[in-house]
Parts: sequence; structure tokens; C-alpha cells
Amino acid sequence: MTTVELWSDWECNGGDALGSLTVIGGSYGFEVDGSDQCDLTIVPDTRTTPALRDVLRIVDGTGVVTEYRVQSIGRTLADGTRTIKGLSPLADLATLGLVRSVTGGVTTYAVGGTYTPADCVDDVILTNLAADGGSWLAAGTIDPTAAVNITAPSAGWTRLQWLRALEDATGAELRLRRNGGTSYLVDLVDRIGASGATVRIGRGQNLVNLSAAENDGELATAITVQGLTPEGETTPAMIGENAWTLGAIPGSAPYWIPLTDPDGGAAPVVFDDQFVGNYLLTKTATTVEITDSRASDSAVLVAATAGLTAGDLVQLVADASATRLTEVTVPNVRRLHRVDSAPTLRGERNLVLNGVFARGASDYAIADVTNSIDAGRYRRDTATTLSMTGGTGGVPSTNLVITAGPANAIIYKDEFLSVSSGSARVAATTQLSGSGTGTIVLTANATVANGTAITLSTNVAGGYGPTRIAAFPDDSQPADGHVVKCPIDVTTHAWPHSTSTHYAYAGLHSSTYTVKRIAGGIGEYVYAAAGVSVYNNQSAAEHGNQNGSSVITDTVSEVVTRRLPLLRIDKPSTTAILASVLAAQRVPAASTVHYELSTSALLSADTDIRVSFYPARAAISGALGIGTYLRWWMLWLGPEAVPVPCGDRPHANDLVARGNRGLLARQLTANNITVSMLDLARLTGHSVTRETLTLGAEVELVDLGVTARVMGLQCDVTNPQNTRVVIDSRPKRLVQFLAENV
Amino acid sequence: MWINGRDLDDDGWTLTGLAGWMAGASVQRGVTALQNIGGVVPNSQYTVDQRTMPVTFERSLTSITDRDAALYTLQDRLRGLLWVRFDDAPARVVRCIATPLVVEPMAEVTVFSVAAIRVRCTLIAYDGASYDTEPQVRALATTPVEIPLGTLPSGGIVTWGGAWTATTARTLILRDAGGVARTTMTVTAPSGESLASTDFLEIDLLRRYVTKVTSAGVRTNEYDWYTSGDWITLDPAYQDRAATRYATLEISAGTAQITYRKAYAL
Repeated sequence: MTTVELWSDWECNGGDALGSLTVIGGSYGFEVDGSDQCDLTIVPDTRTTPALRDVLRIVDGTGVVTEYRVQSIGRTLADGTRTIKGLSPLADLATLGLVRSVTGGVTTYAVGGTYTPADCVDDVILTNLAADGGSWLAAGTIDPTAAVNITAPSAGWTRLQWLRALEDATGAELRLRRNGGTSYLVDLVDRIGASGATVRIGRGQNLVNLSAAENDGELATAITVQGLTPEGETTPAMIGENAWTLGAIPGSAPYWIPLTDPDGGAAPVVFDDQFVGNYLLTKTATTVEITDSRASDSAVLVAATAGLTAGDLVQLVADASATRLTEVTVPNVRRLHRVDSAPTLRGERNLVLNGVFARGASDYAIADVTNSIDAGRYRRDTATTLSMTGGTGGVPSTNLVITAGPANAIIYKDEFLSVSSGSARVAATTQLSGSGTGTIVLTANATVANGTAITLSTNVAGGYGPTRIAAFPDDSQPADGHVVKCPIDVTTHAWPHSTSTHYAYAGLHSSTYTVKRIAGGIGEYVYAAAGVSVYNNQSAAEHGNQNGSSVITDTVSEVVTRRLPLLRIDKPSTTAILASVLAAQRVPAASTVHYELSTSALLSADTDIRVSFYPARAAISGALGIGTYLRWWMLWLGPEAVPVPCGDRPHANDLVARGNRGLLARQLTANNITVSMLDLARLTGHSVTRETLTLGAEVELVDLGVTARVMGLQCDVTNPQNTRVVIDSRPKRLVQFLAENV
Repeated sequence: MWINGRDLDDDGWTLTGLAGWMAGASVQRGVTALQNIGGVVPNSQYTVDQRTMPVTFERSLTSITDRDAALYTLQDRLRGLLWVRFDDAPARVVRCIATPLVVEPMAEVTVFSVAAIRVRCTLIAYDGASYDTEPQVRALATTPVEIPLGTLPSGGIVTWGGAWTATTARTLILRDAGGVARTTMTVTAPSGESLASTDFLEIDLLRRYVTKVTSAGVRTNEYDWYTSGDWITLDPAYQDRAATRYATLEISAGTAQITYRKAYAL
């Protein structure tokens, strides 16, 4: 028999039982979309008086506990009854408070970035729980693993809005799962009820009545997904700037080549013959026609493999001219087009590889970057102090042997170490071993007794001070993400930076990409941007570019000597500089300035391009204590104004995945089925697995020959056998078939 | 006829009409018909209809004033929840309420007469049961104590005393006539709370209250002392009356007694 008790709060949040309620009617339910609620009619009792925000605890005949928060209480004078409506614990996530980050005493709600779903739940959504009274929440099962990019608007989102955005981005399903009296667990699973048994419903068994109606209301065979409209723009992001990793290329025909998402997300081909007649656009601006495709391994068939290299990124385009795709379609069926709005999803693609320096052959090597200045990757949370023990054997030597230091610590080129003979300059970036030992090569001999304590130099006055920054801007990157620490640029750089001589200066150079220019359209402009931080450790002197009088100036037009960082767009094939931007704002003494540099170039034909970066040069005084950090860089084809940085992920792939999920889900007609049935499991008073209805699991409608999904269960409080089942042969949320097929 | 312990004759009224008293309340069990199979599937629970007992009272009168006084008295007697007992079943009471009185003329004469008055009303017993006049009181122990019941389930109030320290759990176990434990109810003093030896816990099995009563008579809701197990229902299905074997109750510690009334369908 079902019992209903009144509690002061969730049991897992320290709630106390207040009393038993006399229920004379009503129901409680469960929905796949999380809108569980109960609606009860009770006989009022002065000893147990429900109040708003109390908790109703319903225990069914099998001992399963379900809790609801009292959301409304109604009174009927004629019969003295009360009606109480309660909502599931998930609704609390909309009222606990906004997800936020607090940095330097300032609270920000526009939190966002690229996260794996598990990291998003742990590090973004389930934060500040104690302050918001949500300590009863914890992360549960998180099935999707591919990283997604989600950013809340400036007004912020509640935890429930964040979870819904995560649902949309991953195609998973959200459910709050009761963990006994300990907590509620946030589950983001491929499919709710995946492990539930399929219950047969049919005449002669448990069917009381069934009605079904079919319509094409949500059928779709072509979907245009419209994503984020960047501020200042009018066109939303769409699927055009997608990018996929080429799989193994067969040595002989037929040339079936799998396409995969570079971050492990959904692959692009979900129907056989999808994208047939479209093309692959390569990084060398060639196009290759797709003559066939298959969904089993998301592979495309091409006539020849010239220009295709396994591991390269290719873009799906509409035709040989590289016209961008705007929709995903189901092949060989009548066209029925829909528009899907996903205003939080971005669509741009970073044409340079390793745009946020996440990859490298070692902890400091930078993958896909030509590094002629011995810059090294630097974790954003690196300690700004070093404590080591070593020496040169007490004799002059450029080899400083470290015998005890932090495990795997990296000492960067042009950092200064404080040794007994003064400050020693590091000649090359070096990483200590896992046991904290290694040899640091110095630019000049130093005489250091073995066993000497060695730290970073603090000799600011001599220009040999520390160049490590303690904190970086968020950049929507994880706290343990990477930036690139650059040595001091000692080359004399005249300004402007426009000649072939300047082209050859040593710096950091990205991978090369050849833009296939469409006149008046995509590829006519190329844009570059970079996030840069500069630290000036001089105690009294500013650092900046110089005018003709060797005086620091913030006006680029007056600059004749560059001393601040520089970002360029180059054309490697002709060693030409297409565009450049110089950091202009001076860096005050003992200060850090964070820049966002951006520039653009007009292309007149298909053009090979790359970005190049040059760090700050020595100070006017010759002081070398200037630290330059390249936090991120990007190269893209438009629109001009995009949220920065866009990282490494081709964001349009998320739009493609969303569109494909929609096509898969919307193949079936909307089949609204209402079933009245006997819940035979409850009839016996104990659970019978094969007859137990599970939310999200499937039911087989024997008489219709249809297998449908349980989208909702409504249980009668006073008659446990009277269970109303809401089922649908098409998923209520368009993303629900994703995990099985994409 | 006795109403709330007072003989109606003492007020000069005579019960002259009574129906439905010995008709048992209708016990109903819902069923659901399934398509394409024979028979029906019964619901797991049953309901009992109310019992209605039309009654007629008569009284001799001496004057209009006497009539008015008699009617006032009868209305007073029939106000609120009534415990009604009839002379042919003096050990049974029925809880009922009375519908408004309807006065009937007694003689078909053209001359106005106040010789007597006849009044009808209907007694409605909403729970359909009749009960023993005298409640049963049983002292409970750590060994099973028999709880004889009528033919319908009974409620009961358990008063449970004995010094009870914080976080200590005690159980109340209902066993059927065969000794099989049917329901175990666990009551645990929460951390920081206790029961002195002069206090007691009052557990209303029907209304599902758990109340702490101190020696000073202060009553507080302590529902959260009930921590697990189902609420105990004293169900005659657990006894074998013909064999005089009954359901039993036992406690795990402390001193307790249960007060209940046997309930009957007829």
C-alpha cells in the first residue's frame, strides 16, 4: 500500500519526518524529461499541516521511495480537503542559485569553455553547493565523453539550465537519481531506462484500452541547425566550418575512408548515401568528390586519394567550389525541411592546429608549431617559485647539475637562476626528471658548489628578475591548461614589420593551411587573433615600443622600434607578410598586461597562410626580465567577430551532430499512443521484472506491432494498480536516439 | 437504545423503528475487465461502504411546551459523533452521526393533537463497523501477547514507556496465529532525544501519530522516531477464531500496552 509522509526537507538534506498524510486521491508521476510531479488530495489534520517547500515522501507497496517538494497547496472549503502539488528534486536545481565563478572578489556568471561532460558537471555545475544549500547533490553516471563547448550568457544560468544545455550539446538524457538517504545523483546517460525490461502490453494480458494517432507533425528529412549569432553579426553559426579526421586510406580501390570527429564526438555519416555528391575540402584547398558513403563506419568513398593524408582534417562542403553546407539531409526520401535552433552552440573553426597548446611531444614541446625560439608549453597553474639543489662541481661550467628539484619541473630558456655566483641565465628549456634531477645548460659559466640551494633569481635591479606570471585570464580554459612561455626576443626589430627580412625573423609559426577563396564570399578575408600576456619585472621602468626618439609610445604609427609582442599572418609560399598587429599598450613597472591581438588579410586567390608570433624584446635598459606568454592563437575565415578563443575544436561538428540526431529521431511519424493498462507487477504486491514498467524503457504493443518507449508513468496513490502509461513511438526529445545510432 | 452512554428512555423517548442495524456494511472490491480473457482482475484493496440505520422515535406529550422541550433534548442527544448501543447487542457500539430530524404527524385527524410525536432520522456509520463497548487493554512484553480481534481490522494506541536513550531502536512486531512475523515497526530515539522513565511514547496505529507525552502531560509530535518498517494494522486475517489462535504483538524493550476495540462487520 502506498503511504505518504510529510518531511521538512529531502531526507539526504537532513529532513525530519513530520507526520503521515491521509490521502484520499491523487497521483504521482515520473517523466523522461524530468518534469516529475505529484498531485494529491488530502484530509487536513492539524497535527500534520503541509507547508510550502516541505517534502512529500511517497513509499509504494514495493518500498520504493519518491520525494517531491511541495510547490502549491489548495483548499476546498466545501469538503475541507487540501490539494497539494509537488515537484521533483530536479526543480530545486532551478532555484538554488546561479552557477558562478569568483575571481579576485568579483563574481562572474558568464562562465563557459570547452569541457568534457564529466568535468562540466564536477567543475562548473556542482560548485558552490554548500553556499547554495545544495550539498545533497553529487555527480552520478556521466556517459558522454566527447568535449563540448558551452558558455552561459552574461546574466548567468541556473544549474538546471546548465544541465539542459549539456543535454542539448551531448544528446544525452538528464535524470536525478535518488541515492538512498545520502544524496541525489546527477545522471547524464545515453538513454534513461536502458537496462529496463521490455514489457509486453497486449489484449489477453494486461491491456485495458489503447488509442493511437499518427501525424507528420515532427517528421524531418532535412535540418538546418542555427547556432550562436556572435555579437555584432546577423548570421547565426551553421554547419559549414566543420572538420573531420581522415582515417586510414586504402592502398587500392575502392577507397573507403572513415571520417571521425577529432575530439571523439559523433561521426558525420549516419545514413548510407549521406553526403553523396558533396566534396571533401582539404588543407591544400583541393576538393575531392564523395561518390558513396556508409553509416556503419562513417566512411566516404572517393575515386582517388590524391591530396588526402590519413590524420589530416578535411571539411565537408557542398560542391567543388567549396560552397559551405547549410543542412544535413536524409538521402533518397521526400524532402521535409525543418530548422533547429541551438543558440548556444558555436560554429567557427580554428584553421591552425593546436590553438590552445594542449598537445606536445613532451610537457613543454609544442605540437604542430615551428618553434625557432625554444619557447615551451607552460601550465597555467605552474608555481612561480622554484626550489632546487645542485651545482657545477664548484668549478666554472655551463652545466648546472640539479640533484634535487621538483619532479618534472620545467626551467625555461632565458629564465634567471639565483646561484652563489649571482644570476645565471638558462640557455635552453629543460625538464627535470620524475625524481627531480637533470642538467640545466647556462648561457655562461657559473661556479656553484654542489649542494647549493638554487631558486629563480629575484635580481630585478640587474634586469635578471623572475618572469613567471601567477595568474592568467580565464580564456575559457581549464586551470591546468597550457600557454606558451617565450624567451626574450633579442633580435633588433625595426617597425613596420613588412619586409622579407622581417619574415625570416625567428619566432613561433603555426601549421600552414591553404584557403580556397570564394570571390566575394568565404575565404576572401582571413582573420587571426591571439591572447598574449606580458610581465615586466622592472621595479621602476615601464616597458613598451619606442618612437624615433627612443621614448616609449603607445601609438603604433609612431613606433620605429618594436619591443612588445607581434602577431602576423604570413604567406609561406612567397615568404610574404599579409597582415600584422603590434601590441601597443605599454607595460607599467612590476606589472602584467593581458592583450588580445587581432588582424585580418584580404585574399585575392587561393592562398596558403599561417600565423606567426614574436615575443617581447629586451627592455630599453637592456633588462631581460620581461616575460611573454602566448595564451592562444586562432586563424579563421569569418565572421569577423567571434567569441575568443575558439580553441581546437571544430565547433560546427556539434551542429552537424545535433542535426543528425534530429534526423534520426524524426524519421518516425509522431505516434501519440495512450494506453490504459494494469500494472501487473503491482497487482501481486511485489516486483516482477518482466512485468515491471521502467521509465525510459520500452514496451511492446503487441496488437499494433510497435515498440515504443515509456515517456511517463502516472501512479494512483489510492489504487496502486491504476497506472497510466504515457508512451510514444518517437522520442519526446529529439536527441534520444543518439546513443544507439550515432 | 443508548446514545453516548445515556439511555434514550430516560428522556422519555421510545425507539419504535429501526432498520439496517443487523445488515452488514457492504464490502466492495474493485475489478478490472481485460479484453479477450474471461473473468476480471480484482484490485488488491477493498472498501467498506457506510452503514445507514433509519430510526424512528416516539414520545407522549402533554403540551406544546413539552413537545418543544422534548425535541430540544433529542437534538442535543443526536449532535456530533455518536456512540450508539442497542439493547439487543449491549456489548456493541456503533460510531455514527445523525441526519437532521424529521417530525411526522401521528394521527390522521382534523383536530390538532399534541398527544404524541414521532420523529425520524437516519444514523450513518461511515466506517461501517460496530465495536466492542469495552476497549481491550493488553500489556505488551518481549514475548508475544495475543491480540484477539473481531471480524474487521482494528486500530489501536500503543503507549510505550521505560527509559529510552538516544539512538536506541526498539521494535514492535505483529505475528500471525502461526507465529510468523507479518509486520515489524522500528522506532528509534533520534540523536539528542530520549525518553525519561516517567514519559511515554503514544503510537496511534490508525491515525499514524507518534506523540511523546511527558509526565507533565506535554504532548509533542515525534513522528521522526518512527524510522522503518510498515505501520501495523491489526487485521483479523492473521487470526484463526475457530481454533482460538490469535495474532500477537511483542516489543523488543521497555514497557508498553495497547488499547484497542474489536471491530465487527455485523
